[in-house]
Amino acid sequence: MISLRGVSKIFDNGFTAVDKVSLEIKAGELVVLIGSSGCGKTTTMKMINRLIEPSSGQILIKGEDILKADPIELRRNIGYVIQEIGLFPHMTIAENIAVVPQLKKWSSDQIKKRIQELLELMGLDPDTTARKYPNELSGGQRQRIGVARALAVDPPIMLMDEPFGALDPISREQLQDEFLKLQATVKKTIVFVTHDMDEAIKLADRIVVLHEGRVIQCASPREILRNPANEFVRDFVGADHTLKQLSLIKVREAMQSDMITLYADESIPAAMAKFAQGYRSMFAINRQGIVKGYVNKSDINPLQDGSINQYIRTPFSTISPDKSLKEALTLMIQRDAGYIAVVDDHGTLLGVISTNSLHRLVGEPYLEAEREVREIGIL
Amino acid sequence: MEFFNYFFTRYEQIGRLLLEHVEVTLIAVVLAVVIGLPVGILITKNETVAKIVLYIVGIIQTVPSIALFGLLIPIMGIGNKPAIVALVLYGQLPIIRNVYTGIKNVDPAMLEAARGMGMTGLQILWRVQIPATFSIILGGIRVATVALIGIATIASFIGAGGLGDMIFRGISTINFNMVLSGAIPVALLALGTDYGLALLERSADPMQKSKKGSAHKRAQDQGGY
Ligand SMILES: Nc1ncnc2c1ncn2[C@@H]1O[C@H](COP(=O)(O)OP(=O)(O)O)[C@@H](O)[C@H]1O
Ligand SMILES: [Mg+2]
Repeated sequence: MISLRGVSKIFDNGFTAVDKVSLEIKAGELVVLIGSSGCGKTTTMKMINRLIEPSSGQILIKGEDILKADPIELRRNIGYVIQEIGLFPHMTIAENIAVVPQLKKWSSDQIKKRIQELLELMGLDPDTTARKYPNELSGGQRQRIGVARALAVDPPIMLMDEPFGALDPISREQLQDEFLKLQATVKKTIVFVTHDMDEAIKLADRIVVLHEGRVIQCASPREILRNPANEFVRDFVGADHTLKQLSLIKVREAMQSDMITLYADESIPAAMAKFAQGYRSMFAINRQGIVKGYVNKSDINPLQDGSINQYIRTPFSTISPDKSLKEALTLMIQRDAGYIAVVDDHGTLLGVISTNSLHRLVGEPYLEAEREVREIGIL
Repeated sequence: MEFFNYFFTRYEQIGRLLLEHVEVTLIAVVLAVVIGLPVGILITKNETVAKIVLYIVGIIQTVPSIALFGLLIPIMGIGNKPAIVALVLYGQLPIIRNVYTGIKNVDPAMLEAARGMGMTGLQILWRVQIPATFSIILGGIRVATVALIGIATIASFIGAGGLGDMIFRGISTINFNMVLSGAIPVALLALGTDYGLALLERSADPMQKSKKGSAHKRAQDQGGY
């Protein structure tokens, strides 16, 4: 969709801000440019809509050299979002969103419909929001309008320069989440600039690490975390790269679903037979698969009559399979739990997350030998 | 009492002079805007030219009006033409300066967004820079208009007509009723114009814009309620 081929930018003062950058961006891909301040992220991005002209190299969009295109027409077909948003204070929200459709001479009916659609997409009430002025909105709402305005004519490509950088951490997280959902439906080709590694990891299909105008590494978030190309990337990723990896992995991917469970109405001898395989505790479920609690082997008196129901312990920690491992780990630390039941909305037991599952996914190889402890019915 | 008698027996004459006064000022303001607006816009393109232009209009401002009229008489004779030319010259500084500083101070993020969305230079000027600066431009026009109402009074010296006629004739014949009959309407005209344009200026301020109208917000900003 977008190809940069040996693109460089040398400013009039002789400073080389971008140095022979080559990059292939596929349609529907969200590529994040990251690096410390002044490394050339913004310059690289602005060459794509020709707000800055490259000094050498070639930029192709859908195979066509953009230097041969009309820059005005080019920009109208590329959504552009900046940190400062740049809404026009003298225009209503509706008028702000209508700017590019008007430049492209859409009919007013068409524009009206699109504004309605976009405000709904952004989770804003069209009736009340459309006639407001930018200074009546919160920072988060303004940036939603910034994104809506860039999406107005449904351009296939979006350029976003630290769009959430000026927001408070809570609004930022919220907008990131909304943005990911949005991207899942609109599937734009996006070049996204940030200097925040957490943001990059959360949003990117691919991360491009820039340093002094050069591409240092270009890989998926997981790959960047697991195999940073050099010391620079390792430092940039931070010492908490293991924790960052956890935020990338869903509980569903990491949970163990082959655990052995007890039925709440199971007889004590039957239960003891299961424990005899070497486990210390197990989850107990009813016949519908709903988890009721857990049973410790040490609690059971083998001479007692009846079912193991009497030994079921509560409370226990649960988590949804769509949460990240980082959230699972947080829960484990908060509750001082070695394992968490993964349950669906109905409480059906789907699997178990234990400290072992965390080790297996992100742990260093030398920890392998230490993982022999058999705990919660997990083989 | 005597004054009111004087005033009301001559209200037709005073009305005619007021109309003349407004006419001269209005023509001058319109011309001053027609010249000042493009000049103010054009000089935003070049810092050096801007400095020179602002310096020149600044100098014009310092020439006393009587002296400027005197300089124009040998070229243009007397009547309202030289008066209008002088007034247009005096109107340039506030208009050009406000247009220039207004456009120069438009938020760069807005311009960046406008460019990034594919607006041409002219579209950015008309749809972003001028509307966003409108209240500042209006402010310049207001200051110019009020000043020109005052200077137009002096312009009756060179035959421009207007309420200055009454004031000067009243002075030379030591008729204070006549002086006041000219001076009071001029003062009210200036104050009324200032107030009216100030209202317009505030309603054009983008920072005051809101759906409910700006009265409520402004009262709060000024510590009201
Ligand atoms: N117009 C310019 N002239 C000279 N140097 C510039 C210009 N624009 C940017 N730079 C320099 O180029 C480098 C990269 O800038 P930029 O791409 O904005 O960095 P960032 O990665 O922070 O977005 C910086 O060192 C900046 O100072
Ligand atoms: Mg930048």
